[in-house]
Amino acid sequence: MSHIEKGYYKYDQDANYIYHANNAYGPSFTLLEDQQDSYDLPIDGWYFCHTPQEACILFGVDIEDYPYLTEDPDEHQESPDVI
Amino acid sequence: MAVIKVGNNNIGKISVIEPYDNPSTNPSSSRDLDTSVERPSGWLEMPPLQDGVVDVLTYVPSGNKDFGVGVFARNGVYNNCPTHIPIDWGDGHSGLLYGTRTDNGNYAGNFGTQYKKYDYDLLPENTEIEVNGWPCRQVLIRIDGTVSGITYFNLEKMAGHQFGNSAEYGEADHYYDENNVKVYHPYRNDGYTKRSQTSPILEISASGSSINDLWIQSSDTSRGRLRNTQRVTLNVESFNPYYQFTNMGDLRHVEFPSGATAGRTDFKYMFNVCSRIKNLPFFDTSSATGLYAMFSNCHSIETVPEYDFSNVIDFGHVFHRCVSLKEIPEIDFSNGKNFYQSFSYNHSLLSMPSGFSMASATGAYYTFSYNYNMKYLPELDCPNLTDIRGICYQTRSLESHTLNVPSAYNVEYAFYVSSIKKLTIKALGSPTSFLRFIRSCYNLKEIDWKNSYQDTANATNFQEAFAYNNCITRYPEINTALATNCNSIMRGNYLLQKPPVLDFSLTTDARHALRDNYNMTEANFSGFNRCNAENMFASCSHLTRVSGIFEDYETNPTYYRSMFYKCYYLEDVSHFVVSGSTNTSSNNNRMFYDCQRLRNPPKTINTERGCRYMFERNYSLESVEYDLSASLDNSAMFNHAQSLKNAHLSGVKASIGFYQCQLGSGNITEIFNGLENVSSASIDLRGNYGIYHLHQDTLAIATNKGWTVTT
Repeated sequence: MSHIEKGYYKYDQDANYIYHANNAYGPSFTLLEDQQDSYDLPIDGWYFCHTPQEACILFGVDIEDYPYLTEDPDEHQESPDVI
Repeated sequence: MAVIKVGNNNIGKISVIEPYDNPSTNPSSSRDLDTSVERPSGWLEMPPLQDGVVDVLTYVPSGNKDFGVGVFARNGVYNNCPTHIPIDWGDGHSGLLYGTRTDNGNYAGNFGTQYKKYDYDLLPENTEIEVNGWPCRQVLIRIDGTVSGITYFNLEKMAGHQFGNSAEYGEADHYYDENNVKVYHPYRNDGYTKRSQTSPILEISASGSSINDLWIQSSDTSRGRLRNTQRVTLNVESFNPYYQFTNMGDLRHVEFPSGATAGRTDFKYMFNVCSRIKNLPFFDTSSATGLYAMFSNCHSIETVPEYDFSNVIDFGHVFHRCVSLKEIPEIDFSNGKNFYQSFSYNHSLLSMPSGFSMASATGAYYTFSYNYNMKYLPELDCPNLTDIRGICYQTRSLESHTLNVPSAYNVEYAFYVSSIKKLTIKALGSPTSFLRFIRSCYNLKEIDWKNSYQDTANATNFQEAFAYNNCITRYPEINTALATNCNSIMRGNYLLQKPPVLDFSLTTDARHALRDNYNMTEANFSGFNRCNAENMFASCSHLTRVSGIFEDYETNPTYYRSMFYKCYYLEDVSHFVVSGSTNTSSNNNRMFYDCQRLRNPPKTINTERGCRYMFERNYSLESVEYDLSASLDNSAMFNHAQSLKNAHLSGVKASIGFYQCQLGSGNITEIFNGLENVSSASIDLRGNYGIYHLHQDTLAIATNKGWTVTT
C-alpha cells in the first residue's frame, strides 16, 4: 500500500519533483483536506487527485521516476545478511 | 536378493542417476561428433596405390544434369610440361590434361584445368549412396600418370570455381555432352564468382614419387571447401601444408609420409576446423616457424603426437577450441613469441605439461581463456611478454598461478572469472590500465604481489580492477596516484574489511568504487579529487569510518548520488564538510539514504546541490544544525528521519522536506523563523505531530515569506 493516496499534488517541473499535501497553506490560498470540491483548482499549481498514479497521468510523467510517491515507509528494510 | 522398501511398498528395482558436471559452467566437450574412421560400406572401392596416379572418389547429387567438376595436373614445372596426362572420368569417358609442347596443336587455351559435366541419371544406380541425407551416385576419377608421371596436381576446381570461364575452357565456351549436344554456360559457378561451394569429394588417394606440390583445395576457402571428404592419402614426395586440410569438417583419416612436410616453415591453418579427425599423423615440423591456427577447432583430437616445434615463433590459435584435447605432450614451446589464444577453449585440458615454457613469449592474449577444467598451469616466467590480456579469462578450475612478467603492460581482463585461490605476481611491466584485471575471482583468498605498489604506479584506469572477488579479505598496496578511472575498483568484495589506502587525487570517476563490500568497516584515502562518487560506498552495511574525503571543498565529489546508500552502521561523519556538489541533476540525491544508525551528521553543509533526500530514512538522527544558505534544492532532505526532533536551520531558501519526522510545534516555529524570503517554495511537514498545534500566526511566519506549508 502506498503511503500517500488522495490529496493535493503539485508538479515542479524545474525541480523535477511532485509535492503532495493533505493541507496546503500558501501566501494567498489555503487548501484543506476533504474540501477540494469547494476550490476552483488548480490553485498555484495544486490539483486534487485520488492516487499518485492519477497525479502522474495528469502531469504527464512516469510514476517510476518518482518512487517516493509509492514507497511505504513502514516497510522497514532489514540489513542484508552478511557473509 | 535384498528387498528394497519404501514405506510399506516393495521396490523391485531402482535407477541410479550418475553425478554429472554442470554443462553451463564447466562444459567438457562439444556436441557428439561421429569420428569413426571406418570406410562406409557403400563407397566404391579405391584402387591400390599406384605410383603416378591420383584417384578421386566423387559424387553427383540427384537431380543434376550437368554437374561440373575440374581437375588439373602437370608433369614438369610451371610452363614446361612436355607430356600429356590422361584422365579417366569414371563414367566411360576420358579426357586429357594437355602439356605445353610447342608441337601440340591444342596447346593454346588447353593447358590448364580440364572440366567435366556429369548427369546423375546416366550414372549406375548401384553406385548410389546418401551424402548428408541426399541421394548421390558415385564416380571414381583417375588422373593417370603411370606413363607420363605427375609432379603437381590441383583439385580446387572440383568445387566448381571458375567453371565455365572460357579462358580455361577447352572448347571456348561450350562442350559436347555424352549425347553430342553442345552445352553452354555451366551453372555451378559462373566466371569468377566465389561461393564457398562444397567440393563433391569423398576420398582422395594419390601416389607419386615425383609429386612435390599439390593442392586438394584452394587456400582461399571461398573457392570451395572439402566439407564431405573423409579420407585423404597422399603418398607423395612433398607438399605445402599451409591451409592444406583446412575446413575439412568430415575428415576422419589422413596419412602422408612424415617427410612430406620437411623443410616447410608455414603450417598456418593446416588442420583448421577439421572437427572430426581424432588421430593426427606425425610429420616433420622441424623447420616450422608459423603454426597459426594449425589445429584450431579440431574438436575431436584428444592428444597430439610429439611434434618438433622448437623453431616455431607463431603459436597463435594453434590449439584454439580443441575442446576434447586432454593432453599436450612435452612439446618445446619455448621459442614461441605469439601465443594469442593458443590454448583457449580447451575444455577438456586439465593441465599444461610440467615442462611447459613460454620463455620467449611476447604476446599471450587470452592464451588459456575458457579452459574451464584446467587445474594446473606452470609458472609463467616470460621476461619479454608484453600482452597478457585475458590470459586466464574464465579459467574456472584453476587453483593457483604464478606470473613473472616484468614487461607486461597490457594486463586487462587477465584474471576475469577465474577460480584461483592464490595468485602470485612476481613482476609486471607498469601497465597503464588494470581494467578488470583480477575480477570475479570468486575463490581468491590471497594475492602475493611484493612489488604491487611499484607495478601499479603508472596506471590511470582501475575500472573493476579488483571487483567481485567475494572471498578475499585483504589486498596488497595499490598505487592509484595517477588513476583517473576508479569506477568499481574494489566493488563486491564481500569479505574485505579494510581496503588499502587509496589515492584518488586525480580520479574523476569513483562510481561504485567500494560498493557492496558488506563487511568493510573503514576506508581511508590519501588524496581525493572532485569526482563523480555515485554509489561509492553503497550497501557497505558495516562501514563505520571514512577518512581523507569531505575534508574541504577540494576533497568533495561533485556528484553524490547514493554515495553512502544503506550504510546501516555508519554513525559518525561529523568530521565531514559537505561543500562541493555542483551537479544540477535531480538524481544527485540520497547521499546518506537509509543510514539507519547515523547520529552525528556532517558538521557543515555548504553545497549548492546534493541535499535532496540527503538524510531520508536516517532513523537515528535526532538533531541537526545547519546554515543551508548555499543549497538550491532541499527536497525531501529529512523525509522519514523519524527521530528528528530538532532542526536548527538558517538560510533556507529552497523547498525542504520533513515528512514523517518527530518535530513539535516549537521546533516547527523555529524552522519557520529560519526560512528566507522566497518567491515560491514549499516546506513539507506532513506526519509531524507538531502540525496539529500550529496557530494561524505561526503558519503566517512562513507564508508571509512566500512559502507554502504542506501538512
